[in-house]
Amino acid sequence: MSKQFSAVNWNTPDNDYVLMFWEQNIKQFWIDTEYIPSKDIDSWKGLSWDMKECYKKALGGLTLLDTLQSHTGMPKIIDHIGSLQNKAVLSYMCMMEAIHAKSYSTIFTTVSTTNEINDVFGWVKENKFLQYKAATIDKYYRAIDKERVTDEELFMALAGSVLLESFLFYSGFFLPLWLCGQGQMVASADIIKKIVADESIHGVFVGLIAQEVYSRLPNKEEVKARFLNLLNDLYENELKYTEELYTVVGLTAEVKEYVRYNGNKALMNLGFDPIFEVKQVNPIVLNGLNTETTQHDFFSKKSTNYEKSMEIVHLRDDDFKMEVAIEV
Amino acid sequence: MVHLYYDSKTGNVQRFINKVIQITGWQAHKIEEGLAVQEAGHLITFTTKLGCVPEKTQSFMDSYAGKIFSVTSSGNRNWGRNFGRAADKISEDYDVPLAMKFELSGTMEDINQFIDIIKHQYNDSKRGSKKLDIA
Repeated sequence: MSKQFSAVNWNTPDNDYVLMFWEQNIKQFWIDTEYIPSKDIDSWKGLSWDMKECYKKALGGLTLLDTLQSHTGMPKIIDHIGSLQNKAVLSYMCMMEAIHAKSYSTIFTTVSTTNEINDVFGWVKENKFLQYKAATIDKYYRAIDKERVTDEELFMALAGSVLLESFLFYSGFFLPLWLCGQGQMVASADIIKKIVADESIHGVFVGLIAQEVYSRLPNKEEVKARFLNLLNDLYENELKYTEELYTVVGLTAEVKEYVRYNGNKALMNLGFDPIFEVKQVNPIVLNGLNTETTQHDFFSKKSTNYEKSMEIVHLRDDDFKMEVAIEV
Repeated sequence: MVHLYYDSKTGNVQRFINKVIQITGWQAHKIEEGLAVQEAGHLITFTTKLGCVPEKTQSFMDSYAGKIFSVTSSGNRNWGRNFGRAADKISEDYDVPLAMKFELSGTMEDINQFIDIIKHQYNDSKRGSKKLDIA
């Protein structure tokens, strides 16, 4: 008998969380062109040459990760998820990853020349730490590129995805958030913060699915040890990447601390205990995250504090029947 | 005996509570429909949908706010000012002091801080009236 195809039926929820994630993802929808990074041109001109280089490379690295996530990570994972509703949420997230990957270019196009931008994308292809990061995660995605996979293979791919979303992005996010925390490159940071928010919910959702798969594993301790090895390997690579990128602007120690802090959050998203010792989360970065856009051009731009109206009273014909007759 | 009433969806608050009760031996009650509250205690919840209070927590508080000494929320600083905002909302709406906020399932420091706050800032028999400035 040939394969039987099922249609996704949203009338009955597959589990007690999928609808909540679907709704929150929809609420978070945005596109890059709603933001106006051109407001940052003056701020950009005020940055030192080194800082500009660092900023462009940080965003170039982020572009690579979002590209990997939208072209490989999410599609491969979707193939092996049982719940059709969970698949739908993942495919929505996949689409957002493509918007993220494009949005860095929206910032680049605004502040840099085509030659400079091409140099950044060339640097991405050559940087061994970035390439190692992408290749390492990609390996786990490719391992599930077949019809039947083991729970262990699926867990490692899901865990790799969570590491990407909740951990490996942050050496790149650091700089735009840190600058924003001091009032620099604020409009571009609006875009970055939308991406941070999306990656946060992706990490929770994929982490939740990973935990379900993990609970089915017969060899939990063995797989956990394998995962922690992977985490450690990627952590060492992040330290080297951080040194290469941030030494010139004197931020290496701060970025490394931020990387550890987010490593703990990735672990928690997977249901594991934090392992890194973190003394303090950078207050300037937290300030960057807390900064809300004050300028708000409703027709071309979304502010971060936009609220949807929830209590709507419909207009009726009666509303137009004026009680007072105006004499003319 | 200290009683903790908690709401958990993704397991973060559950794991936080598991560690707290492992250390303290306090009594934890998961908020479910039909949970009857006999003893007064502390609320631990999470923040959802961009700074909102979870529905189960909301209906729990509608019935039992008078039996709650303090509120704590899990959250994520990536949400900026919406971080753990459920705790602020509950504190304001039901006049319950805010105990603390932590990220996801909390670090060991968060867990120790929570235990310390509950032990020293609130007396089970008297409802603490001052708001704590720690968030």
